Amino acid sequence: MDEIPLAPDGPSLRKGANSATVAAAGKHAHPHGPGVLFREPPRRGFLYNAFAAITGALVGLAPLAAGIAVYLDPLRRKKAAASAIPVTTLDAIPDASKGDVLVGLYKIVADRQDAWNTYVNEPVGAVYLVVPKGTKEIKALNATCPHLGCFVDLQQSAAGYSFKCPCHTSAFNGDGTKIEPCVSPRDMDSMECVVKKRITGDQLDVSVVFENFQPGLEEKKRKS
Amino acid sequence: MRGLFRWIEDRTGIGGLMHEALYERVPGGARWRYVWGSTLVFAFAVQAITGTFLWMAYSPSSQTAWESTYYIQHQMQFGWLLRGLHHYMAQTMVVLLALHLFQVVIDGAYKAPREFNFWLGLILMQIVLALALTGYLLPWDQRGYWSTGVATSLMSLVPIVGEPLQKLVVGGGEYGHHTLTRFFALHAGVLPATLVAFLVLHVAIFRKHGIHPKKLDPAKDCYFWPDQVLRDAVACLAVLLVVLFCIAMPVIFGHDGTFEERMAAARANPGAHLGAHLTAPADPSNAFSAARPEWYFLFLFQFLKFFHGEDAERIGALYIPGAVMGVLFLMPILGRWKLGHRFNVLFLVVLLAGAGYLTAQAWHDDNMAGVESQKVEFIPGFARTKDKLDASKAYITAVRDAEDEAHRAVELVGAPAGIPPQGAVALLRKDAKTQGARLFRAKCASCHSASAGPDQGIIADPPSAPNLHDFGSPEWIAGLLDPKRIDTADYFGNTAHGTAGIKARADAAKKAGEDAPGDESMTLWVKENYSTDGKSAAEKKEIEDEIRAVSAALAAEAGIEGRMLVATPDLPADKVKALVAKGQEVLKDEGKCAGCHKFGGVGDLGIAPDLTGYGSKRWLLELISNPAAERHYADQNDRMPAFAKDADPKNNQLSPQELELLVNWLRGEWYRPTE
Repeated sequence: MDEIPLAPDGPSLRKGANSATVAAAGKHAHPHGPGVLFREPPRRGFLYNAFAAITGALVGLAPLAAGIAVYLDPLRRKKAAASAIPVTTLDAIPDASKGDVLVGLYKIVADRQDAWNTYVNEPVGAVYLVVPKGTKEIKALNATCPHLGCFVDLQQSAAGYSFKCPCHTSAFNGDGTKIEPCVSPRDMDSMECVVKKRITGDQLDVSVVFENFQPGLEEKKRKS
Repeated sequence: MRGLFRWIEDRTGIGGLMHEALYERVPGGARWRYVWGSTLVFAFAVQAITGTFLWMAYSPSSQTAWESTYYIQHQMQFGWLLRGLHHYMAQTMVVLLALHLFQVVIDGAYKAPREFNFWLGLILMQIVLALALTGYLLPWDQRGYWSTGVATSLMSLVPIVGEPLQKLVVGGGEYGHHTLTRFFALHAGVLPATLVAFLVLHVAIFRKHGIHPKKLDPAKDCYFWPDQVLRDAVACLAVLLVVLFCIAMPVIFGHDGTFEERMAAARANPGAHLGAHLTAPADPSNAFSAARPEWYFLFLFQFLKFFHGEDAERIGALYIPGAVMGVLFLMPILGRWKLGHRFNVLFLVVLLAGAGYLTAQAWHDDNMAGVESQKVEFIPGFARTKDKLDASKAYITAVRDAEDEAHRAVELVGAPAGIPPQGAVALLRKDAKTQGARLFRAKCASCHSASAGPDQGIIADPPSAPNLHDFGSPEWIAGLLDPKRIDTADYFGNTAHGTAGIKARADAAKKAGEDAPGDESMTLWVKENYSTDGKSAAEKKEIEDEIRAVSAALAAEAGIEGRMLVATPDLPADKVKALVAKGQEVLKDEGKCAGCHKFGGVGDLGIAPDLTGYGSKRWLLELISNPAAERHYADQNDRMPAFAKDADPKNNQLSPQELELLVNWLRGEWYRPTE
């Protein structure tokens, strides 16, 4: 049979032998092959080997690096600063001298950017507006549970109201503070409420600076 | 033919490979206990095949994911079967993983020289669980959205890199398009490719060392083909049958009608009755209180209830599961000693028993209000406390609401207008049936009920204003005019217009030294004029006829389809017309209704609500916007807030759209599919 040279001074392969024979090159005969013996693989200098390895790695890494760069894109994006979103008027806020008062659950409607789409006036979250007992302070509580992000339910009864998370049993008082023992690491997240006179007329509006916070942590950390 | 085979064989060596694969020696003979690995490969093959075809119809974006999944499930032929196979095979795979792990550990098949294969198996297990987790989100329904949100929130607990890691996985700060594209790339690309790579290694190393024989018996030695292959094939068939059974479960064990009726319904519309569930489209602004992970992660969900605060949570969510995985990885080392092997087996038994206990507890916590589980109360953690029963009641209601909403979403997208480019969630947000009920719960149910009876509809606790179920119908109005009912909690009983309310107002006025309120109350008038006590039969009939006429006239003013007096064979159209005309006469009678109410230009405003257009859309919009307006209760208004008094909608409690949804809901006006 003819022999096909693989390299000027390298090993040779008999015509008709399959690739498995090549893989078995060395001193051992391939179990299915004709029992041809090959020389040891050629030895090259360190630099030669290193150059081959680095070149191979680089061509593989180039597309991977491009991919990872795009994949990391969310890390460089920062959320726009929260703005005050009107939810109700001051005259809807009742007196809280006798106990915590729940004003209501309000959807927060704002523009939302989701990757390539801009949604105009979409519900982006919800807040419970409360007035803690004996205060005149309006408190806006994010309806997202600070434990792991479920939507906190309102529990109302003749005795009053409280908040309960339907997932892992977090419970909160009417002013948003934890009812111990509680799985949540912190109280419900309150947000800044702004009361200001409307541009036209004397009506006083209650607005909420709506933000979402990182669940699971003791520290109330704004989602970036 | 033989020549062709030889030609192919010379060039590919495929026959040799097949021979090598099939004629693997099975020392000690084929056994049923060796089937688990093969069933897992089979399950993965099913997932790869069904997943590829699902891929051809699925579109990962927040406007199209639910919609394309719906289309597969409800519109594409046998889509329900394809989804069902993929969904339930994923669950079966988790069970098979547990069985395979158990068999390997009990048989000691993880010991030298098979350590690497065991470790590869554990990595494969992690990949399968990651596939399960990522797949749960892809339909972008409420259940997947809220449940997966918990899982990704847990990432923030990872020390140092938690937040950026979470952001990378989610594709930003909040869930959106990029969450889906990333989860989908993981689910359909990265994870399966990694799984295949590890599976090849796993099988190659398995082949290198051969099967770990349960018992050496050279006399029974055989080859993989056909003895073990037959057993494996039968086991795979059993797995497939289990999956098909799960797909058909809603028809077999459903609660709606008889089995035959369910079968007929499934034949007519298989997507609605068979295969995997699909809840309503994801909506971050709508609560989903029935959020739970898939059942095989339920023990982890329950486990987290025991860890209070961030540090404890980190222990429960990261360190303990990490330590458990660590012990699993150390098993081959520990297994070198006899005692170590026993520890491994015991550890696995305790682990599975613990997971089983937590799963049962989670299920019991959620469902105890719907089951008689007093007999298991003695088990620690299974006590039926009031708090837990309340939470369970809320969960059961949430599940029922979720099912209703899912059903409604399918009804809406099945309407002739179809799904708009904004997605199905836009339809739901405009749907009076679901959103009206939500708005009523949020804004009205602290005073009003909307309930047909105990445990039905929405019930205020306590009700302090009329029950608005079936509002505007002749029956509802007749109840208001019934002296025995007007003073109950269903109407004015708990309001300032009821007897107790009038007395309280009179006492308060007396205390303040003011004039007592007059006797113009509707309750007192109805009790005085429409009471049939001590009346003759003719007088009774006259009163009843008058109530019937006024009810018919006011229902006609409301003009709600399905809530008006309509002609029947017993009550021809001309009699209905005459009844309404008679009712209008009473309404205009200044000695009766028009004494306080205005109707059709007769009477004055400011004493009681204007009955012109009573219960109509406009009338209700105006009433809810400002009940203290002159046209409505004026200074007789009892605590009802003005929800949209201001000309600028931004400053009202209800936007114009919300107001319309609420009014339409009260009037029962929403899209109904035609049969």
